[in-house]
Amino acid sequence: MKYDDKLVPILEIDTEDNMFRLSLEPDPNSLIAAIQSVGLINPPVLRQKEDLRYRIVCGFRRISACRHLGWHEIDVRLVVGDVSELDLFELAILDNRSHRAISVVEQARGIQKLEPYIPSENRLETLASLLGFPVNKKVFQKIRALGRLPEPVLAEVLNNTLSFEAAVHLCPFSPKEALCFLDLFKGLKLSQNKQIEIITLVQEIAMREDLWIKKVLQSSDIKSVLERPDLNRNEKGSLLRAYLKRRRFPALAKTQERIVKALKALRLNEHVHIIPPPYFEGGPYTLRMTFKNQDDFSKRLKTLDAIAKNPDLKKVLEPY
Amino acid sequence: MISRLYIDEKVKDEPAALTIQERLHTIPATVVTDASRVHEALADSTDPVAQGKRVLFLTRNRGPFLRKCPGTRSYICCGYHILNIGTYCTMDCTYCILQAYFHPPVLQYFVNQEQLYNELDHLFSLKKPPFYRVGTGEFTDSLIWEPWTELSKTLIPYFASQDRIVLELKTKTSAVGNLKCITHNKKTIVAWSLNPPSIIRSEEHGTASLKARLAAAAQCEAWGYPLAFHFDPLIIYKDWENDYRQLVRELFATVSSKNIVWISLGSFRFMPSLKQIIRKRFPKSKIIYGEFIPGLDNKMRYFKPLRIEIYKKMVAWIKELAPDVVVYFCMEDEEVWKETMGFVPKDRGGLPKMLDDSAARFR
Repeated sequence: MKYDDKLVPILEIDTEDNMFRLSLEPDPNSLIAAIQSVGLINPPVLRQKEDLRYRIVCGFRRISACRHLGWHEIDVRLVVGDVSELDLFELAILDNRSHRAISVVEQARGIQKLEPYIPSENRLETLASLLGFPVNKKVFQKIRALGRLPEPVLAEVLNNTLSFEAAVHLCPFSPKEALCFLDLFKGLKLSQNKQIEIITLVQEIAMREDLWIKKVLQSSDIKSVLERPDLNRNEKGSLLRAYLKRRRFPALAKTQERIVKALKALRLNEHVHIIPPPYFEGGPYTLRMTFKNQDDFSKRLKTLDAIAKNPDLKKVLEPY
Repeated sequence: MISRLYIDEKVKDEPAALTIQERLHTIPATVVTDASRVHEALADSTDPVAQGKRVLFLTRNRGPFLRKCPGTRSYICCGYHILNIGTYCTMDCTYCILQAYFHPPVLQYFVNQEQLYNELDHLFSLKKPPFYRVGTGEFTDSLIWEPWTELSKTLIPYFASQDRIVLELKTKTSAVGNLKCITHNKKTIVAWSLNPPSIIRSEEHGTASLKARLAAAAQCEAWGYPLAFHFDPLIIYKDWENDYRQLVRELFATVSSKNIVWISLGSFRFMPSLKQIIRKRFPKSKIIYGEFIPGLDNKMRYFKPLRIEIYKKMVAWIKELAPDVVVYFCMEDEEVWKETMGFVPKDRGGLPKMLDDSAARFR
């Protein structure tokens, strides 16, 4: 590739042209001080367009920082001669990768932009090598799917508010719906699995009840949980999940509530536990008993005897 | 519609393979030495599950044609035997387990039929057990193959030649034309899976309408065949009570309960891996959003009280119109039987015996 080193007026650089941009809207703050102190060490790479303005290939943040500093002109490396768009994309990616690992969001955007240029036979291998992800079809599909998400959602993947896997689960939704989920997650502190659980529950409730996702997320029950000042973000997350599960599985939830009541009525203590079979589908109940000595053991037997005579035991054993 | 035919080189000269090739002569055919060639062709498709319905692979059954239905220890099994004539289906039911069961799912028809009839001869020669129920509709629909194979024209008379074993042909088609004028000796039971028209429209793509299925059943009844019906999968949705009640009424308005060997009830259940397939292939379908819990066999099932509710009502509606017909559950536990029927199969000698006895009545 051939370059001309040149000084170009910043106003002639088309900063709205994002063809080769992989990162989200650049934050120039970290660079401003450095450039102010030592100047622009590594000039951005540009390509002249047909309208004679310049398209940025590498150096979006550097140019943004220079604009913030009030510069009118900037030293650049101008790509000249016959160079394909694919070569310029490769240059943009390699420039990024030369000084840092590129993020999953950049990989997603890279896939989106480069896919049309690469033949399908070796697309996975080429993109994996260029963008630095494993040669694995499932991983590729997940990263590629992220490209469909709106920028604010992607930004929160980078901020770790939203996990990568949860973001992948948001891909089938419309941008508006994905943003609704994002608003919810910003107010909570949830692990990856819990984020995925909430996405799944909300989506399934919407399907069951013929509602829009937004309608489910803005229901008064959810709002009242989120607006409770006495709860921290973890507690709100737990309450929200419990509410969604009750709404998604109403019959199961009712049975579980009945069982909890019936177990309370048995007045079990911390040494004796009765555990119903999973989902009450069948199979044995489990009795767990702890004791330290023979005296303890005799006491537990008396407790068990009392439980056996308690009419509420039937309610536990016949839950529906 | 079949758009591509593959033929396993090892069976290309089998009579059944030659007949099918002749009947499908307008369709491009390729002889392959290895099944992987067919699988590779499917893997390139954007929807291999759908593509597998349009590709027919004529091959040989490497295992036995006859095998016991696997069942599970946790639920009561009817002791059925599968006659494995082929795999997969040309119809496209949302809930079809075959989408997740075969990897990849592809229409395969087994043409090494000498082995099939040898196995049947062996079965027919056995003295024990006293009765046997065999069906072709577990890994495929029994009658989709008729236009290309006319299998029933050979299979039905074969079963008619003995008196101890019944063949059940289970279908969602109305393709019964080949069953006319065949000696069946009441040893072939023609069976239909039934669901209300709204479920057929939304979930049973490419199948015959309810009207057509019932008309085909009435036709088979007129030809003297014993009949069976399977309300499986029962699906719980907003209007299920009205729709299933009406369905039961329509059934008994069309055929006589005296000619029904058995009716089975089975609520929708699925391997967990099917959920993602349904979500992807049928995004508008709501059937996976019922209250499903993991069953003892690791399949997802409706929460038990919901199953009991739908079963109780179905049994009551059936018994109201056909008090003597044998109704049974496919893969349910004793609690469900007791709650809905008031007895458990072992009180009556076990479910296999109940069904064998019912089949034996039709002589």
